[in-house]
Amino acid sequence: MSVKEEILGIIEALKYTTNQPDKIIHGKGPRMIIRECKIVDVKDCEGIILEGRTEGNKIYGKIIVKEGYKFKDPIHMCFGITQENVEQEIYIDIILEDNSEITLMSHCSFIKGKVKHIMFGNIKVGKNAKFTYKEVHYHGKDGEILVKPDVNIEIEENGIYISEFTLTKGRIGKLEINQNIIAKDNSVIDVIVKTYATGDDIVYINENVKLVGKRAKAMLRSKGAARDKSKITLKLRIEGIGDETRGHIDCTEIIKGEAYVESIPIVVVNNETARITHEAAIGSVDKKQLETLMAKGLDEEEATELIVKGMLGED
Amino acid sequence: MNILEVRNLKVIRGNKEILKGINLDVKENEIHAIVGPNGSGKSTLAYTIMGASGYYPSSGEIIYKGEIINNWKIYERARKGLTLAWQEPARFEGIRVRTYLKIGMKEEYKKDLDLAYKKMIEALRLVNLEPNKYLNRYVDETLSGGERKRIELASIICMEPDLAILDEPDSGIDIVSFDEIKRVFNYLKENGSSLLIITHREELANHADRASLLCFGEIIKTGDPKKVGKFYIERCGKCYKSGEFYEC
Repeated sequence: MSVKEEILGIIEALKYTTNQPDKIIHGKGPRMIIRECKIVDVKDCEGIILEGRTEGNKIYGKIIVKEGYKFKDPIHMCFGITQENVEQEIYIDIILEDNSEITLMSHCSFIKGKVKHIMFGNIKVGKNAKFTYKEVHYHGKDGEILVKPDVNIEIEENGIYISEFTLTKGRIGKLEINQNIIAKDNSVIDVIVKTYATGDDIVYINENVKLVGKRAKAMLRSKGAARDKSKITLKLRIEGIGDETRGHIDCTEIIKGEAYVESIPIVVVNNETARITHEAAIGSVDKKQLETLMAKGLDEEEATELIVKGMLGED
Repeated sequence: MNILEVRNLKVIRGNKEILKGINLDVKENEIHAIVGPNGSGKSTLAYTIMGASGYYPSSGEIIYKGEIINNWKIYERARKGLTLAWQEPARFEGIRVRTYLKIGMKEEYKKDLDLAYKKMIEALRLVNLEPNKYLNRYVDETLSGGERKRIELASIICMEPDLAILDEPDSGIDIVSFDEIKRVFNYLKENGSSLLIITHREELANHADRASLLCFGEIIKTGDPKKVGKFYIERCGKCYKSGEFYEC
């Protein structure tokens, strides 16, 4: 397949995760484009080192944002799988040197068939650095996809880590997120995972934050909906170790049909000046909301869909 | 010609009979007010006509456009042009005003986005909300009670319903806005809608073409709104203050 054909294929795939696939692929911004297990394009710029190589189905990537460089426009990483029976294994290291700032947008579009997308990541956010990570997935309609990111993150003094994972279109298949975060003095963490599970999808989110530094703060949120026979398990844990650390866990999940949602917030505090809280709201769609929309002509299914999409921030 | 006929409607909730054999007609293009004190069964009547869950007739008939609709689902009633604005409308995380206003619009608007946009602008202005400020806001907890009520009225305007039931449309909206509500009534009537206004304020009922007084689950008077309102003020007040029930 020619490079041009590879690019056209990836543009087609990215239409499910962004409304500007051409701009990402052909734009001037830094990017790494991967189709199936092949790196199609890598482009860096001053202040950013972007490296990638492959070995069979293994993809190795490295992103370094040099000290003091701050970028308004994001780096794009695109993972497109357009064929069936593909297994991607990704090993990625992301380093934000001190006083740097970047947003990384990861577009993962797996259009059909059996796909495995397994990732091992190490992220280091330097002193006074800010890293925003947005990952948007689209998983076809077959429900035979396994996505399993396993990420370790370390945030240095005054560092900021913001992460938003969204998988609300198509069938999920099986999603297993494992994320371990260590936060040093005055660092800030804001993590949100949005999922919409249908059919027999399985979602397992395991997030573990250790607030080791003084006045480190963390917010872990999960928003989602589970319907049919899908299952969501959320294990969100914050440990307040350092002085005056603050953390909050918040789960909002809507269930319908025979779906199952289990939320296990774990709050650990071994410092009397620390304070970690949690709240969870899991249940069916609010009756009054449903009937308000039904009085405008939506049937129950349509009304539920609109309420869930609103909750997931898709309006 | 009547758009709505309620015949001997009884509603029991728990062990209590809330509506005790209501008979009511709403004429086409009429503004009909149901006036009565708190707890008289006004909202129960509204919810039962709309088909809200938990509000089912134990006997009697609800006839809308000539068809008995007792067993119709809410959205089936709505798709035939019947709608309800709740006294305290629900709030929706993440749903923008522009999406909310579009929900119940007729097909001609859904097919023509420019037309739909114009209608939304017109509706928001009618309820005294600046479109540029509100179209992209969320219908969520960030709106005040008054703003939320106004957006609900704007939604009703956008739907162009054949019959709209407005449950306490002025509650939560400051007194200065009373004329605005009347302006909305007039607009809806001029555009062909019939209205069933549920209120405990006789000033609002005065703006109707006809009014019915609902007391302890029974309609005890129907006719000229000023006469019904006067009767309500003079008689119902005493009844409720004394805690005794006088025969009317």
